[in-house]
Amino acid sequence: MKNPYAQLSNGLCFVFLDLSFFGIPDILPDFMGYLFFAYGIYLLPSFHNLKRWSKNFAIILIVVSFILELTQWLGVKTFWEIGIQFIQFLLIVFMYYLFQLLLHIHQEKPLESKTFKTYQIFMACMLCGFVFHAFAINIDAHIQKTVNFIGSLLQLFAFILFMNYCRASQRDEQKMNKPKIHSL
Amino acid sequence: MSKIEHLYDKYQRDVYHFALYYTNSREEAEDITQETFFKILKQLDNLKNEEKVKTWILSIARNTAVDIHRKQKIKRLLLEKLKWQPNLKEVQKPLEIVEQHEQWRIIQGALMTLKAHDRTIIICRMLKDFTIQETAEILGISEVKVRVDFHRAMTRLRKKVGRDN
Amino acid sequence: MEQHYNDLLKKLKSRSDIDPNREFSSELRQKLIKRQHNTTNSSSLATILTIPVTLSVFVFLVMVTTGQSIGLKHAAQLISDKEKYLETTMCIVLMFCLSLFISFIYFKGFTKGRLVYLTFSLSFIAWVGNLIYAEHDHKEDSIEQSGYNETFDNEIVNPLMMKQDQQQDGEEEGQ
Repeated sequence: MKNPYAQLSNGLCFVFLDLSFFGIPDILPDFMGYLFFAYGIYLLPSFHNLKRWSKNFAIILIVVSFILELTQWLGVKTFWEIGIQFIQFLLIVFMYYLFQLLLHIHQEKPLESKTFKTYQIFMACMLCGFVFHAFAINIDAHIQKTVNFIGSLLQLFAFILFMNYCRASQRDEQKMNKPKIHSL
Repeated sequence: MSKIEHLYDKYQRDVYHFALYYTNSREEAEDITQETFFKILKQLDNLKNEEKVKTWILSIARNTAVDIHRKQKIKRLLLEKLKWQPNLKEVQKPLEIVEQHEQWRIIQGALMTLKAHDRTIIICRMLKDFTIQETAEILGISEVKVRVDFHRAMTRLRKKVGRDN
Repeated sequence: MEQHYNDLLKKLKSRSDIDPNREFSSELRQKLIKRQHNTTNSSSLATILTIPVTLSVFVFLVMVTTGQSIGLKHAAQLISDKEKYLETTMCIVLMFCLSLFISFIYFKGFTKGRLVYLTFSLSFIAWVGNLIYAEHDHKEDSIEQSGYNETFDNEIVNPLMMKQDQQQDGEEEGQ
């Protein structure tokens, strides 16, 4: 069976990283990332309403990010620039609901504490990064770069943290699914 | 007598019992009861179906219990890590050792090791004698799922009790 | 075994501490009555929050769909360097305050509730507010520039130009 946490980490990789070579637009498009997210949530072992809710949210984000990607290819610059920041905010809200679901799944399990800590730091860093980027618009040019850099650094830290959490959950899941060897 | 007073008098014991079975702690049960009735007071205007008031209150109690119990647990874990010493709750006082001979503690202990969902189903069906329909409404799941999950939860509880004995 | 198991469940039903503390019960009852009187007249924080968020979403939608900014005039317009410096400082202070508030909420361990939603709405408002301000500021700059070219530079206000004009006039009169 495919591991849901691997899909979630793939999803965040696609959403976070933008790789463009030789004038080709992003080879890791965001909508693919949200597709991974939706699939990962579908694989998560839960019947809670939050699962349905966050999966639908991921599907909405697939559509929105696809439209945005399209505007980038078509060269509508203003709409794309505002849209990219707006979808960043939606990503944070989406991650909040995803963490609520993960907290529910890991309740009373070994990774409960790790999930909670990751949630705390991830949400704080992502939102602070977003606020830094928002205020950077109106700050003097010489400070603007530094503020933008700090904002990006905070979000990168959140990204690494989530990757680390996904790896730990993946390992835990594999350990749980390992067939037990009975001694004779 | 106002509506909230009427609801408090009628359902306070049910909420408290649920919280006590769920957390096995008087302090936490009191916190949960208080928080639940504050929430009820806030959302009282949203209550349209008066017939389902009991399950509505119990579903609020269940959500509150899950939240508060989780917070307390994390707080305990963090404190343990910070102090580098075992949880104070685990250190038994002489009186507690005597009390431990009370047999209900065996099954309450086993109940506490179950998952939150299983624990809630057992509390509703076995300890509070709610109907399958009421349990389904409290948990927000279908009646068929309540039947299946209840059967599984009871099997798990029996296993735990057998192991402890 | 089954009998023993059922007995245990019965004993748990009537565990020794099953009844809530009387003092606690009556205290909570009093608290509820008090709260009931307090909450009937005051509007909730959620309502207070919903209005600015809805407004900012509306403003954002107008900006995106029409491609125009909404011109909000300041009572005092910031022109000099000192005031520009003050503006940047205010921005940084606000940014750090908001970031500290967000960090405080999450490190305190809130998972849901008003305060968590408040962090989202404040961040969103900060973003929309900055977008509007930047658009407004940009518009003002362009007005200032064109105004300077047409009136200040070519006519009377520039003192250096006036001095030069007077000198030229004097020289011409002397000749």
